[in-house]
Amino acid sequence: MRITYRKTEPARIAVPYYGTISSPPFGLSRLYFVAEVDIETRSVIDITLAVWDPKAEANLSTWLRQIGVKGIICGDANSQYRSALNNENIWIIWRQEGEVAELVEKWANGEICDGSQFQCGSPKNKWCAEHYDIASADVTYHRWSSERRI
Amino acid sequence: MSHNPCAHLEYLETILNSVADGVFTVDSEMKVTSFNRAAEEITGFSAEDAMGRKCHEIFRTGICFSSCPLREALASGEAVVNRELDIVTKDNRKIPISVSASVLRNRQGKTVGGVETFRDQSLIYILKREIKEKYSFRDLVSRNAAMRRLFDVLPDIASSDATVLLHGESGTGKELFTKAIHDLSPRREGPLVVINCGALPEPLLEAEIFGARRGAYTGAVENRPGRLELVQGGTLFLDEIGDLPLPLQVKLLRVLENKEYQPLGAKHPLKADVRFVAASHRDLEAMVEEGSFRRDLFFRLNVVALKIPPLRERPEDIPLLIDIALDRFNNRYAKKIRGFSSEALKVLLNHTYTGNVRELLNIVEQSVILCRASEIGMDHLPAFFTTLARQEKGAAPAQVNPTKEKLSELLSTYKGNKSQVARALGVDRTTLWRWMKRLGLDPA
Repeated sequence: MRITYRKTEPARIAVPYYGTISSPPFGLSRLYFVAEVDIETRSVIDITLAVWDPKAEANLSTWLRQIGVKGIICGDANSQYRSALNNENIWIIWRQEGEVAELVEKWANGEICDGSQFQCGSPKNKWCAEHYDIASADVTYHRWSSERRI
Repeated sequence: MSHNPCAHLEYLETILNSVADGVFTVDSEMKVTSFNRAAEEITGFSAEDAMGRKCHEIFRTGICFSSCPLREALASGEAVVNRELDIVTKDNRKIPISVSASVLRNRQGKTVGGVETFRDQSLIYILKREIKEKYSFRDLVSRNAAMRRLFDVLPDIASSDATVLLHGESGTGKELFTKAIHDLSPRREGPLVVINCGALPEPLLEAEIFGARRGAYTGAVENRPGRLELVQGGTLFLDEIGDLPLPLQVKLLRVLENKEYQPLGAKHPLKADVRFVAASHRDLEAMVEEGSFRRDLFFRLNVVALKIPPLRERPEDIPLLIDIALDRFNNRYAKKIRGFSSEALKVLLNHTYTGNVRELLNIVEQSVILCRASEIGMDHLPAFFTTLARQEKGAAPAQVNPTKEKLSELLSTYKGNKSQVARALGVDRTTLWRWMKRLGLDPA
């Protein structure tokens, strides 16, 4: 499976406000920074705050997909939730700490990665030379294997 | 499933011991009849300690004899859900928990006891506290990059004796910045005196700042020290300096230049050992241009200029400030409100806060006072939020794609500032970015 970013559309990346997506046994974070990243220049266009309403909206992973989030960068997340995000085609890079702009810029520049690999063998979050073509209209970014346990 | 009823009980014990929430049951005399593993971990009491004892001996809260959730549930027959309170553990630690209680009935429907489930909220409190500590500087708090840069330079500015000019809208925390500068300065042992230059008419303001000698004017029956005299060795904060009348601007300039001043009616000047911090929400440079503020005084004051961004430019601070305000007002009004509903939080995040942090604090205070539940909802917010939310729901999104010429013109008007252009067009920055990209304008 692949996640495709169109160069004419910014990539939307979420970072939980308090750093972690889940904090057992209290449930899931409701508040997320949502960063828009220009894939072509790899720069952050805008950062906004979004609130997930568990009473009125879909479950968290579906809500994230509905608001156009392609990936999450966070400090921690339980395995169940990682697979729920995975099922919505949302990638997750965890064990990360720092300011939202800094984290997203690092992601855009391929500087953060949790050591896991994409199906093609490229480290997760590294731009894959085999599939990334600056001249083409689309930038292809690999989703890690769903069979792989993180 | 086995048909043996005893097997069900074994399952039940295993199930209860596998959940993360604490669960215990009591009989009609409020004696503990079961106590799961999580309850042992949270309270520190073992099931052996707990069984057969009155629940208030084990589950120790400040409301055991006044508003015990279990007693309430038993009395009303209705479940009590997510009540926030503190318990004291076996080793006398106070921990925040969320409690729910329900009635247990036998097959005939007769009440035989109750069940209480509770979850430890300490971690979320720790997480929030860590965030607050991480982003705090003295009494100031922010996770905005521009504010963090101000926090970084504040100790260096404070250690000098330079005059500081704070620019910021009303309610941005100029007085807190002044307090931080004073507390970090070598003058911290001296007084910090505040005077609002817009609060008094000119003659009174003059006497207030510079002091007056006996007989200086009718009614001056004794020597009256001014703020400059009272603040010797300390810091004088001149708030709303833009409101200082022109004649007093001349007198203040003399203090800044020569470090001396003359009280009303005094024959000799006095020395002023004072560090000045001035602040204004007005554009002093524009006032200089129009002649309502002295240029020389402006340059004397503008040695170190700090611009405090308004809250609408740092929305990332809103949840942080809400948490802090909630803690403060929960303590002040003896409440246990754990937060805002998602709907209320969305509304608060989208509000423009013309009154800045002060306005946010007022909103939270009012909501805390009005809220009797554990969560602040839309009903507890000031009425205009509800009206606004209703209007927004009814309004259709108005987005008209501009032409390349129109967009270029706007970009040139706002000197390339995309946030201002987006605001002028009534769209967010991402939409503007998309339009610029489509029209072949460089969005970078």
